[in-house]
Amino acid sequence: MTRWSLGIDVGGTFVDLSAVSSAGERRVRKRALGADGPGGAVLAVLDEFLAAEGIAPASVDRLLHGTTVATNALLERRSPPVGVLLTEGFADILTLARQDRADLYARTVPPQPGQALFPEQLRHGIGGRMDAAGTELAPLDEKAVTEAGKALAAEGVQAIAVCFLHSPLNASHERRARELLAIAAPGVRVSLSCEVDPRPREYERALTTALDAYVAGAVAAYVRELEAGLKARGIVAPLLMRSEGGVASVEACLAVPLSLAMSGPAAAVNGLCALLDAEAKDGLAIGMDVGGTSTDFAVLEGGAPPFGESLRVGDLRLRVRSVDVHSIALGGGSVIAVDAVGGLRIGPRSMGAWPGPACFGRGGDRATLTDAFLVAGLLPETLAGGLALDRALASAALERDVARPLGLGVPDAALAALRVANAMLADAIKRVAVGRGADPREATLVAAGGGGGLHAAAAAQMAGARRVLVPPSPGLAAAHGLLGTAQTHSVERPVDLPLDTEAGRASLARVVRDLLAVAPPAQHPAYAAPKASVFVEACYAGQEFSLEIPLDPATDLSGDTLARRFDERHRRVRGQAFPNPRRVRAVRVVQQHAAPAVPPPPAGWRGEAMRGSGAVVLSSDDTTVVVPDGWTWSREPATGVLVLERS
Amino acid sequence: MDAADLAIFRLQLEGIAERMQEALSHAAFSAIAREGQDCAAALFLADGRLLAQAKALPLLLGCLVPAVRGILDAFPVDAMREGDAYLLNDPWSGGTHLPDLSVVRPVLHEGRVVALTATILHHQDVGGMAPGSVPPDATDIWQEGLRLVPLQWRRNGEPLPSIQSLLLANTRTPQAMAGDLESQWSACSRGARELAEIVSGLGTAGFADASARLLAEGEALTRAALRRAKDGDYVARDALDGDGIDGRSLPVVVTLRKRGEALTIDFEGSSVQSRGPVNAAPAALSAAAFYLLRTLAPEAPSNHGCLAPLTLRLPEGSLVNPRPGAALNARTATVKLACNALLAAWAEADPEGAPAPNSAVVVVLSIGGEDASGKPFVFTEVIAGGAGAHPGGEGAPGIATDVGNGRNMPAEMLEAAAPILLERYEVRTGSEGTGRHRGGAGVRRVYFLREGRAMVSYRSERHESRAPGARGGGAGAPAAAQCRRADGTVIDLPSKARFEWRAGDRLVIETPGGGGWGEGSTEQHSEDS
Repeated sequence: MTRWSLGIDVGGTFVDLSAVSSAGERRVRKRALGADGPGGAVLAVLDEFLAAEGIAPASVDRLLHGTTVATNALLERRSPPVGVLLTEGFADILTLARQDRADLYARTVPPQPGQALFPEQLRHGIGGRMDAAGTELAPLDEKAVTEAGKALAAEGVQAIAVCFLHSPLNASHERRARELLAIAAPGVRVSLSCEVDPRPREYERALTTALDAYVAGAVAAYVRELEAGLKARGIVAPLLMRSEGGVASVEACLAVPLSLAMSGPAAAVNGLCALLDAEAKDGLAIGMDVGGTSTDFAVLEGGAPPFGESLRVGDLRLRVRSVDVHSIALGGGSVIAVDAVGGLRIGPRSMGAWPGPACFGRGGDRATLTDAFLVAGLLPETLAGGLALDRALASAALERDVARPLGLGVPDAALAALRVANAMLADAIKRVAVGRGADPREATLVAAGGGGGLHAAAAAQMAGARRVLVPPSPGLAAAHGLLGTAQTHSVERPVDLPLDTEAGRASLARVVRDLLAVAPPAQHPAYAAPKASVFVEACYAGQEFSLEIPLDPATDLSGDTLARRFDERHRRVRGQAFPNPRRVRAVRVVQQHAAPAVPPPPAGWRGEAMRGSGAVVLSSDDTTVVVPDGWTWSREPATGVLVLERS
Repeated sequence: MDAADLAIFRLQLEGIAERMQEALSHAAFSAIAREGQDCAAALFLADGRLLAQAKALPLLLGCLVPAVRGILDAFPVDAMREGDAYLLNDPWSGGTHLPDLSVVRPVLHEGRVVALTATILHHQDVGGMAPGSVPPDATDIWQEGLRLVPLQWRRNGEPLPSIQSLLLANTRTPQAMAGDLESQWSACSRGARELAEIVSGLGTAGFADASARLLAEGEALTRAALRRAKDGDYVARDALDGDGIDGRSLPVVVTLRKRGEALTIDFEGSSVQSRGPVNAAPAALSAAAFYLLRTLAPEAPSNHGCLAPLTLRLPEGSLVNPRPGAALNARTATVKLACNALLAAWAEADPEGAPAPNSAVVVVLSIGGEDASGKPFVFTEVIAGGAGAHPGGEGAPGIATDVGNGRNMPAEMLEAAAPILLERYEVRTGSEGTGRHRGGAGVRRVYFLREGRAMVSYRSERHESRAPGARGGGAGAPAAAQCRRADGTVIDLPSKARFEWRAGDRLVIETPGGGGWGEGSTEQHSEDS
């Protein structure tokens, strides 16, 4: 029997499905998000797909999912408040943060984001104390934990975060607090800092843990509903995409819901990496995924995305391992407006998926970028996913919001708005490239998202770049990427060991051996046997910020191989190697079960021509690509990738 | 080079400065540099004009400008070679106070110096009469530590042995100093490597042209912002509690004379120089003036062009321009107060949206000692007061303002480095100025010495005064500090104090609140809503 693997990704405007069969057949499906939100849309697109393709639910034996539920909870901040237990005397650290401010030259200094997010009456200081060696100085005040748990339960909180000082070195108080809370506040979810982010510096750990609790309710409700819907259809439980770039079981993800914060963008980046051509893989590529509400950028060096230990979501900086993606609030649903001094502004407000742009005809009453593209003649009458567009509504909105205030005709107003949008994208391209020490003029821009092809060449040109790739069905990049993503499990342990002595390396070897012993089984027979990668975080004695280097347990645990590798990394990142002794501060083991190879998705480019030159508008089943004057285009026959080059 | 290329050039320079900054603070050994971000990086042209800065502590960023000038005055740029580095901390040669060491490295293209990379970092200890080198009771510069006039520190990439051993012999924490100097050199090298690549891409002439255009942009945007404000003379006054030696308060007076697109900042009327260490070197005041100009056009590229409209007058022999030999390690108190006065005076020129004054205080706490086994420790941390409220809302509690942007010291990092428990770090409720919008509260930090002994240098301000409110808003509460001895004795500390700390003693530090904005009561408003 033919078996199917499905990748389903939810974006700001659409839900996308990409499928591959055990025989290598590819199928795709796209659906506009309805007013019922993302949960229902996933099941709806699944039902439509199975019906249209005549596939029995039972033959779906692998389902991968990228979700925005955690990201949206962090950005929208409409979730119910959570309780936080902190060491007595430190209940205010979430509002005091690190004391520095983000905007140096602003006249006024706004409160830190934690002040509104974590109300004072839900933060409790709890007696009990460890010292910096992890030795208990004062026992946990169990009565205070129980009372706080009862008070928080009475306030109706659904989740509690616990972060006590020095818990990465001794987590016994946090673990005991969880036991007590299970009795005092039954049914309330508990996030422990020693599990969410076991690293030193209490504010960063507390914020990350509190946000894990904050998103937990929305994530669990969403995932459980999805699971139930799948079960009712006789379909397997999903594997979910995590920020760190791999998929994992529902239970693993629900243990740390914040690990889903960059689920969708991580999947999209994987999708783009799979379709880079040789030039983009060897050199510098910049992924640009233009969605309905935002555009995500990722710098791809050597064909792989960079990872970081901190993630910015709005004005929050979380300490989670994540694919390094930079987002700006610009997408197809972004509102176009004219400000008091006649400046043309796009975003940050978006009409989102519902009601969406004026041309969607669902009551959206503001002019958006999608309306401008439609009026400029760059969009078809019906979008992928079967969404019919109303040109008259788009024109009326642009007339009222943009053309009249600027004293322009509607077509000129639309073109002006598109120029501004392209300049904003170009600015972001420059920033992300320069931010990693690269020159944007040498980059290949890889355009994804339904709107990527509309902007890519113009934005690339403004940023000085000369080359653009548009992968096949770019609107489905994240859904495609899910199919090829490895199942990943990582585990980290804080240590403090000398790197330069035999004894230190012997201790390190023991820790590595312990961590390597933890390998969860593959969730599906198609995934390969696990391959372990080991990383250590090291620094010079006296420093407190570490650098990560890979470690091969077979060869690197004797002699000075590791020391030389660390010196080299320090030289590259910080300019110079130091003469000081070196220390290892953490060990991380990543177990990856590689996904089966996936053939490229169907491209569906219209027309027979394989190359040509601009100005011309090319279209496919799910996207439109603008090739400006001075650019040439060609199609890669093997992969369906469209290559644009500035002549 | 078109407008888009110039924009990329700007981003590239800012990117280099940011990566230098990250390399500097992450490689640092000194706790105040690593945790407090008390360090800064910038790029300069070969003639000493500022080209680009990282987003770092404005006080230190501003201080790099005179430091680079001081180096260039002593070492002509034509004689500089690849692999050279220069060092200074002397306040009368462009330095600010002795713990802040500036390192400058030339960037060469085709054998000629085309630019300079520079870093400044607050070192843990540079000798003098107290651990941490910020003694609140110093009465001359020689008590404050090792004074470094501009000197060549490295040749061919290596430290000059005699200089290096002189430096390390004059600190209580030689390992930290050696490590932090390496961090500074390392960050300068990283920046120099990247900048040299850009220069070789553009050529010497192309680089000079692009730089000139970027400076012109900084100047044009700053001048345009000045032009929009009302012409006039604006005066603001404040006073320091005292200098830590004599009890009397010391006035700080600033006059802004705004004419068209030019601005004169004049500190005439400020106190004569003090015996105690609250004097501020001109470098520190020029950083405060630079800060004000940067707030006028925050979108401008941060470079020497922004300084073009400024004339700065610092009366000789005054608190803000002391004669050689004066003690000045506690200049933070004076600079914060002076910067606050600058902002208050500017609020008259541009009243729309102006906030109430912030607490104008950042406590500098420096503690050195040894644990029960005799193992030494030294650390310095900064503790902020509250921000001022403004027409749009309340002020933030315990947050770095104006020329400051130092981060706090995490309890987990402090306790790993010293036999101290941080028992509390909390909002000091009730210290905020009242009003329609409340000011930001100060904070309370309580420290307990578990074992061993230590010497504490405490430097604060506003023990005797309050941050005023604006438009009818209330003033913030004053600062306070106590040493609570193990035997129950409670000693109220003045705003500058140095004392012995014994095992079992507690140190309680409370920072002042920011001013409130507007008449009325916050409580009533929140009940109404």
